[in-house]
Amino acid sequence: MILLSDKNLSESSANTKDFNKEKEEKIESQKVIPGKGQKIKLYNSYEHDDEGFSVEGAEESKKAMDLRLSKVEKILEAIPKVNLYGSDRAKKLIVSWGSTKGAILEALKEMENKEDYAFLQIKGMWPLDPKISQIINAFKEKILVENNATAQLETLLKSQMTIGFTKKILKYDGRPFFPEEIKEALND
Amino acid sequence: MTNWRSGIAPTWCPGCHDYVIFAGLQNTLTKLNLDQDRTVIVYDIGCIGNMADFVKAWGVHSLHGRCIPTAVGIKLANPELNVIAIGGDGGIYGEGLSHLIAAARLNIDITVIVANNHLYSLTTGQSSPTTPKGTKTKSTPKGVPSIALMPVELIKTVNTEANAEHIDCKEPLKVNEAMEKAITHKGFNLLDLEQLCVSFGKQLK
Ligand SMILES: Cc1ncc(C[n+]2csc(CCOP(=O)(O)OP(=O)(O)O)c2C)c(N)n1
Ligand code: SF4
Ligand SMILES: [Mg+2]
Repeated sequence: MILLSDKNLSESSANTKDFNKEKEEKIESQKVIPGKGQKIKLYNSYEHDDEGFSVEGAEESKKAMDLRLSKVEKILEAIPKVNLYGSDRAKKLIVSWGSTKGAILEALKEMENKEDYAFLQIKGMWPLDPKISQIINAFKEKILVENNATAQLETLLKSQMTIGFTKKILKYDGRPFFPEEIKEALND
Repeated sequence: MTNWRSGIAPTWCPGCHDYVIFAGLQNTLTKLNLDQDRTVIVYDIGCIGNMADFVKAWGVHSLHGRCIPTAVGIKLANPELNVIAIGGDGGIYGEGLSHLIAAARLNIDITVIVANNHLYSLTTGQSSPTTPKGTKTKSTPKGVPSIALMPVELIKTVNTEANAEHIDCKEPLKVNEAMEKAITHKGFNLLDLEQLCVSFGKQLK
């Protein structure tokens, strides 16, 4: 798993709910690790059999790859879902990711025509949920907000689905977004 | 007597010193009679890392340059385990050098065994951080421009308490003794083994 963060997020702090101790204990008891008298195993970064020993046959390699790919469905179930703020009947949808969320929500509070806007925060980047395209394409106007120069999220979305943004708000001067800037850009 | 062999036959080139290291490890594990359920070996990627398939013990065949952080993590998770990391000069002194230094500074009780053949051998003979200056290899047709790293001296400078030794695989009994010393010594151990690669290292003899 790769946890994607950004400077603005990693320099902030927030409270979280208690971790699920019961779930943790259950995972701990299921682990196949040394010192518990279980059957010895090799954890292997090469394609391997059930005991962990390398396999190099074409058929076995393909089988291992298919097994990995079959996990995508389950990962999609577990990966963080999108957050949709506002009405799904709004005229305009703001699409963004990462630490822009706070500034966007603040900006929307201040907007005169706030009912016109909904905001979709994408949290699971890969595998990318195909449902995201249905959500975005249900809106007439689509506005992208990203705190980078090259619209990285747009590149990702376009590589996987048909999506066209009506407006792009990008900031890349080494600073996070301020709500006033977003408000101004939306009204522009 | 505990069986430390997986039953899979080693695939190293005939005459490779990796067989000496494998035999040394087998002898030492047997002699020390370590608890097999509490012994973990982490392998780097490379010819020597392929030992993963030939040993019967808890193991991780990790990533190139990353056997040490994996071993450190395992030792931190359960300090009662005997933890050994095995890799080549490319992985441990190249891509993983900062991990070696960090583990030595931590003086963590693990044993790092390096098959130092002065080459990236699995990838057919490019230069590594311990290739002598001037040596011609596939990746340095005009000779290596850099000064070769001195791993034992480096680690002794970082941690004066560490057990760091250089032993030549031409003397298998000394390899066995050094392995026994390293695995039983409490604290950080680096065993730098001079290893001949018969296929790509002839110019180094
Ligand atoms: C991250 C990463 N980089 C590069 C490689 C390609 N690679 C595989 S083995 C190897 C070199 C091995 O040299 P060494 O660690 O000295 O082991 P030897 O084969 O000489 O025993 C390299 C560069 C890889 N597998 N992973
Ligand atoms: S290529 Fe060199 S290091 Fe690798 S197995 Fe053959 S002789 Fe040994
Ligand atoms: Mg090498």
